[in-house]
Amino acid sequence: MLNKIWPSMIIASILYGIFCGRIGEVNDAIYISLEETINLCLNFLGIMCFWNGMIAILKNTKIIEKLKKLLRPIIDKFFNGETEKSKEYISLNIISNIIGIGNAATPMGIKAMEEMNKENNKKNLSKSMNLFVLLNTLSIQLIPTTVISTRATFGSENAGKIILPIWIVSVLSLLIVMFIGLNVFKEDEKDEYI
Amino acid sequence: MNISDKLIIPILILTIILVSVLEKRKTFDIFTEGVIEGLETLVKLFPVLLGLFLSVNMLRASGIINFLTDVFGKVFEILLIPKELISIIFLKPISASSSLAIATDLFKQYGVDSMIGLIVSTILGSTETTFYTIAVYTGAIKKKISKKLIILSILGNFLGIFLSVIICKIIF
Repeated sequence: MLNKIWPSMIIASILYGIFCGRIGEVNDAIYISLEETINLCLNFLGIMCFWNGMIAILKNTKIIEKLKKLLRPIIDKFFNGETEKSKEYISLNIISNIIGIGNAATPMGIKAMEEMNKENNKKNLSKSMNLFVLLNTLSIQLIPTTVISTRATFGSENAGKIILPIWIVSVLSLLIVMFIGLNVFKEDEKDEYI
Repeated sequence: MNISDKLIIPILILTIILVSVLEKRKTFDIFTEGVIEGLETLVKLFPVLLGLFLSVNMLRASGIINFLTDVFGKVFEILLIPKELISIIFLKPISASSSLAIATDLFKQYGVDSMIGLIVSTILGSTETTFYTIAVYTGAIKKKISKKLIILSILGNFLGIFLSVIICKIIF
């Protein structure tokens, strides 16, 4: 997707800059942004690596197994009728999302989709598949490491104070949207497709 | 609020370390391995950030962002959403790294602990790259996507933004 967006952004800013007589500023922006990237990444280095280390510790504890058990009734409710294997992938995807290892969440999620697809011989997504994709478009991260790191880099007095509003907003959005999804998606979907 | 504010992160860290120690894991070894993974992630992230910082900075310098802010500003104000957030609202559903670049741009302009800075941080942490996710998850299997899914995911995204504004204004 960025293959289209990125060139458009560059082309638009140069053309618009020339058109509005701001090409000088656009030119300066090129050099400023290169310098900024280096600064940000250097600052990022410490705090990003630290959180990665903490998540590695978390990943190695039994908390994962406990989370799996805790999630079981919810998964049974939302994805009832799916195979054990699908449910296993779904729970691994959800847990990876919660503890913030996106690298693991996406492959698990795709596996879950493929597994659920085996049971689905229709042309469109089944109810569980719809719900699963919807769930992944919502944020369920426990420690929003990137946000905290960026805030710290930009000299926040208290980078972590954002965690409470993030939890509240995430949980509220999740509950509302998934509740609607549970009632709106039908097993035999007659909605228009794209 | 101030003390409890600063408690959340240390308590999270304490919990993780305590559990690991109680389970008799090689906590420090695991930590250092995780740090190396973090380095690798950052190395992969670097080219993307460089490219996007460039494009976002150029966009802002050219004046397009201000132009769009003025055009859509009225609509956003009716929805109680500060118009400064327009660029991040449009980019967040598509690309995580672009929205990060936009967010840092807003942090510089308004300050990371200003109301705008806090709302931007909350949006960043509580919404997902909606369209990207749908593309990746449905791309693997060749099935059609229903309109309901698109509408609901946009609703979820909008809800995240709207709630971020409201909750931040209540808490801070």
